[in-house]
Amino acid sequence: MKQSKRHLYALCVILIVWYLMSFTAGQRLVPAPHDTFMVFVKHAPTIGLHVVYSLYRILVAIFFTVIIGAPIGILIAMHPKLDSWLSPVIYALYPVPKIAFLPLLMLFFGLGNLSKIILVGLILIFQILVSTRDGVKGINKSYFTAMQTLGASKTQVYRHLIIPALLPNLLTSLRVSIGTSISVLFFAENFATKYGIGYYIMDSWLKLDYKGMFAGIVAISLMGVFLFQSIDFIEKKLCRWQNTRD
Amino acid sequence: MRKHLLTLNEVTVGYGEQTIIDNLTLTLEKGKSYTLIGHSGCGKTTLLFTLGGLIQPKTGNLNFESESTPSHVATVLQEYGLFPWKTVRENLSLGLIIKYKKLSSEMTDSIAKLAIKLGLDTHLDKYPHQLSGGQKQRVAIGRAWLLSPELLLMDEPFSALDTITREALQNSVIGLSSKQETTWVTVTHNIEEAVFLGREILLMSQTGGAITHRFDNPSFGDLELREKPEFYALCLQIRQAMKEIHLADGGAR
Repeated sequence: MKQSKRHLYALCVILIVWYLMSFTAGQRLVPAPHDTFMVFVKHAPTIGLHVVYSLYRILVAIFFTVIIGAPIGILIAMHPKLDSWLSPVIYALYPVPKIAFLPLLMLFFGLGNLSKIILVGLILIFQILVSTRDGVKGINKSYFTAMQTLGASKTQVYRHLIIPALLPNLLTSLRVSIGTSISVLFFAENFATKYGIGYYIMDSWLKLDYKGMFAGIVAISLMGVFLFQSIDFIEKKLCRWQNTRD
Repeated sequence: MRKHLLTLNEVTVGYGEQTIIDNLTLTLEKGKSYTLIGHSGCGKTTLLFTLGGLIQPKTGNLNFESESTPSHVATVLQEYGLFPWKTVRENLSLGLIIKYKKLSSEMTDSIAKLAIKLGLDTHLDKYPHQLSGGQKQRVAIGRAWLLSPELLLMDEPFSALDTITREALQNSVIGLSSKQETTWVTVTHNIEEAVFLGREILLMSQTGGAITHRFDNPSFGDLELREKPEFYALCLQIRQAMKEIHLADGGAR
């Protein structure tokens, strides 16, 4: 099935389920898709502004998490001693619900964007770290021997072997963690801010504006689609060899 | 009389407490093709990796007689060592890029010429998983060959290939070896391959990795050799010697 056909199919399934829910629960609680769409179009500039705020927070968090997390993951994988020291700490901190740190983050980093970005970053970094570490550890040893036979320097080993080998893992971990990040950001945007799609949805809910709330949910969903599609695009460009597999 | 390329002086190699090669002295001549044959686990690959500088000897040393240094050594690994994220062209040129940082137009030309010679010219933009085993091995050999090494080491390069592909590749190797003065050392456990690819065949014992027999092959380089009686005579001679060694080493282990 072509990608455009798949998207159309997904949209149809969502719309059918949505109409069914709307019919069952009543249009006051679950507005019909076409009504929501009208509100979405009417408030598009406002919703767009909120989405831009949320996207900004997520993209900055992703950028810094990859910049910081991936090199640490590589270092841990390449140095067993560092691995034995740091991995227990990572395992201890990984399951801690980071959302619980929001009050502390707001205290240390202010009520603005920074505390929210750091919260999303805290969710992302452990997945990036662990998947990068495991990605590097999983590289077949024969590739390192091949590099050694070609007389590669350490930098060349990173450039020609380690970084390309771990890219698919890194992108998969980003895909996995983006869903969680959006949920956490939704929660964080309900505190000390008037911008962000999380704020917009909750604000509409509190005003009993269910159409607005659903328009916000549509926007957050579209934001997710945009992020996933961007990762797919990056993967297509950077991991060309995977596109040639059956 | 050929010039010497390198000498191993009383070299001992091992892993931890285990000694694989004990006090081996061996001289390799420039531009000659050697094959190293012996039973599984006798230390062939260890010796090859020692020659390639991938394993450091516990005692003894390797002396390159000329200006050669380990950077003039190229190795073809049994598992090809091709990088899945690089195309055939990128895999071929990787050794040159690592050595010279970027490709000159001469290098690009020589890659194109070699690709034609190895039958890879129509596959240059493919990735390794799109190639057959024989094609992958051609890329691995080509990558090593492009470095114009003085010493080219091959670790059981054709063991995973079918007979026809193996013979075609062996012919390609003979073709390449006649082109430039490179010393080849090929590790194999296949007697026919050892005879076809070796100007001199070194037989290794399981006891301390000693080279117990050296067989001269004056017919080396003849692509029709496989169909000649002297080929089979030499194969038989080596088979007998291997049997003797096997018995001396204590039979099947």
